[in-house]
Amino acid sequence: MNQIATATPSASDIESPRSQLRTIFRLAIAAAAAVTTYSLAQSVPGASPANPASRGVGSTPLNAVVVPITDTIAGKGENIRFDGQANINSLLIDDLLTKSPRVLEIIIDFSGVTAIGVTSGKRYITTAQSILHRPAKPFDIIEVSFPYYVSGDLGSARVAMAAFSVGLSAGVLNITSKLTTPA
Amino acid sequence: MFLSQKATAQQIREAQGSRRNRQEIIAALSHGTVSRRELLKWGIFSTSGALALKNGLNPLVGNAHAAIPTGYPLSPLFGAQAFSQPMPRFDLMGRHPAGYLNPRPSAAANLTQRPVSAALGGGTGPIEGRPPGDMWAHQKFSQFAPQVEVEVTQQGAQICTDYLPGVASNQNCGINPATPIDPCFHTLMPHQDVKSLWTFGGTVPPKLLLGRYGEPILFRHHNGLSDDVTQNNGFGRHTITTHEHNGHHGAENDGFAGAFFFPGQFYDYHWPIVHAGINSVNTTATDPRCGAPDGNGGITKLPGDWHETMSTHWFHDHMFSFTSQNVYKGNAAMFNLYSSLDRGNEGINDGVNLRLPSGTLKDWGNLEYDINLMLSDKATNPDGQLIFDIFNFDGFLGDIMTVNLAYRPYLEVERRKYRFRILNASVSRFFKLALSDNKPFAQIGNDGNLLPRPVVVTALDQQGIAERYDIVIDFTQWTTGSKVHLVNLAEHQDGTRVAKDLSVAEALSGTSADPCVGRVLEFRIARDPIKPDLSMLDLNKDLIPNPDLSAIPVARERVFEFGKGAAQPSRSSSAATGPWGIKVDGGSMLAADYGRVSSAPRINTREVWTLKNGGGGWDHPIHIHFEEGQVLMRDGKASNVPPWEKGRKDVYRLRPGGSITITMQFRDWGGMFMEHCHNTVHEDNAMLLRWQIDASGNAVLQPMPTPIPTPQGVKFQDQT
Repeated sequence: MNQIATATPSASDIESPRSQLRTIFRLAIAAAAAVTTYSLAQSVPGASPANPASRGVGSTPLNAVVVPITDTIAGKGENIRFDGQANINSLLIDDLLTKSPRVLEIIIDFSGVTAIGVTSGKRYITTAQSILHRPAKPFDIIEVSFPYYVSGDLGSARVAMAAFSVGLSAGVLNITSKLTTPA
Repeated sequence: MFLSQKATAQQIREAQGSRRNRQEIIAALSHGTVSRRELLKWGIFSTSGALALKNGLNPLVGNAHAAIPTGYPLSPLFGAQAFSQPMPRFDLMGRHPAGYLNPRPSAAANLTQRPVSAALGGGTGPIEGRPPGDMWAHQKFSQFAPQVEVEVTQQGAQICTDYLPGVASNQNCGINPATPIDPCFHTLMPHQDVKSLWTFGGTVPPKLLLGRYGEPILFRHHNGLSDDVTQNNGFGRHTITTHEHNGHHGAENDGFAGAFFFPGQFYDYHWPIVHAGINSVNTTATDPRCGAPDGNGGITKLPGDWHETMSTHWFHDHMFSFTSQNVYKGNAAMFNLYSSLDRGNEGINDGVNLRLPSGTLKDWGNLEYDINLMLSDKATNPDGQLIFDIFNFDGFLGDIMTVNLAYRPYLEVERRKYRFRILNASVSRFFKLALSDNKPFAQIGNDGNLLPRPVVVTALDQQGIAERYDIVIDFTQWTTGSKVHLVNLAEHQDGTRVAKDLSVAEALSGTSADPCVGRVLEFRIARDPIKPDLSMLDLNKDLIPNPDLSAIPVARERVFEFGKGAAQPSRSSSAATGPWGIKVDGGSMLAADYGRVSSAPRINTREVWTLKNGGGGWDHPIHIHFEEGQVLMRDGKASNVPPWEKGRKDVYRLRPGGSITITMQFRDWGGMFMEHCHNTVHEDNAMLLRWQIDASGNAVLQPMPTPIPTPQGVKFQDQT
């Protein structure tokens, strides 16, 4: 009980007038069988202080994937040729408490891709990165758009769309891609 | 999560029945007639953090008549269509010169007595709710004497008759500011009741305060809520404390969770508005980059570190255990900070001003092309009144998507560049925003701070609760008369985390079960610019580089792990009960107790903190009060830090199963601050800790006594 009487005490320290709580008691009794305990939550594997500080609990890094990108798409005024590789890092994330479906965190880095105007020879900047969370499935198609631009001018920025076919089997990622121009 | 439009009448009835049962318990909790501890003991709450899995109480449990979960009933829309109403600009708070407030503000709390109503225990109590005495007196009050005074009252919903958008009607979708504005999310939706919606001034649109560096503000916040704690439509607590997120101010002005004040009282918050490093960097104020607009086109040079300049803040309630409910009810406003770098005037070309999209009519703080967007999801009962459900400790999600408290509005824009300051003001929902045609835009700010450089994107990263993303959209990419939408790609199934980041095509397909996925705001490209666009945004040019801390030794490293299964050893009234907690440096996972000092960095030092997610099934946007941090690593690697997190931040999303390592300096002010999850359901249940700076610089911390507010006066107790 609170050491100091308050007219509007905080919720954590109040004796309840039982007469007002018939509904709550009824529901409390009905719910009693479903109660889980603190001890269950505390006994979850991986929640101990022994885990390394650098990474949170419940995530497993997957193999880094380098996806070759060689495509030409229609740009404004001229076609744009993309060459290089998208570097993809990913984590498989487990819910250690509720056992809800696994999540795939996928980080796509386009900075290894060059873009050149087919007619003008103009070089475009492609430094985009995308971080996505998707339900971990054996197969998924992930569409990611990314900007490319000529200079310091935001108005010059254009967009390409990459469709990644992501296969996940036995903790190993297999990814291919295809570039398009967004509709 | 929510019942689909195709749900059967039986499913809807059962879900509504479950909601009614839960509302009885929520009301009892909010009225103080039952405690969280008791609900846990009785099994209404499971200690793993969920509503007991029982039909008739938990709507997500299969029932006798259907094999599938019933889900929550959808909020009624009363015929309101998306994009059928204009988006109102924020409503400017009045700025008054020094001398306006009566009684006059004072360094220490004003203890003048007033009668206290019987509902609050009777007797008398102080008119100001700030804890009394020197320890809670405004630090450096005379050195930073208030130059601007603001007076506002927290109160229940009422019609707005004094709307001050700060721009002409043609920059505000034609809204006539003289026309009264009803307190509702759409003109076809019911007025919110005085007990449902509690905003600054009781009105909508939400409020915006403009401030500039070197101009100290005295923010007097009156509590105009009912003395009767039950006058809340079943949720929300009538005691409040206001956090200027992420102000670099003394702790007495930080909105400490345990420094709340009661109806009939006020609290004077003193916001000096100084650059961090004021006592150690550029102390002679010679660098014009550390400055403020002087009102006449020039710069007032100020001491401090210009790399610490901040731009986009907000302030909101931080009532211990009730933050989620009170912020959801409307206790949230935005605060734009102006500086010599971020002037709010795109026309001044002096080599310092970054000339970001804003306008030119005033010397500073032009809002024509600098627009605040507050995103939040709401839910209502069948009568259209706001409703809240605290039973799922994973978080609360609404199904009515609002921008500036308007249901899916439209915004007219000109064919030119605009800056948008986007705040996620939801309780538990994350957003991920893109434009409906995938066109690019630039992110220029993250939380309160401009980035070192603009980052061109086609979609923003997930935006956690309380994070602010400043972006620039160049609307010359579209023709006059066309439309483009701001689209939410982050699909939730519950309040734990984003279940799936959708592509734009997926989000627009209409197949998501999440009612807040898809188009949230419609931009209507209404015309060519009325005046030439003078704003600048060079993608190759620096905005505000980070301060270089490499020469400052790291005094200490700490590890904070955020997870479930917390214990609460304390029985103090300063302690909360709930499943969420924080481990410090490998210790026990503890639930919040604002009387417990969990960390005590020394003044004028630098530390490295690692924030670690204690499980993979949820995400936590962790907010550290008072100091900006630089992100050093994600998951242990510097290379994992994305470009948009390379500036300074104050909210750090851990990501599911992730960790983040940051560095901060502790300077200029002292006192008790907080660190917590800004999924405010997690915060309230009880993922929050107190840390403290001893401004005296003593090697051994002398913990400040913990305030225990009452209407009759604040008492103190020793740390727990």
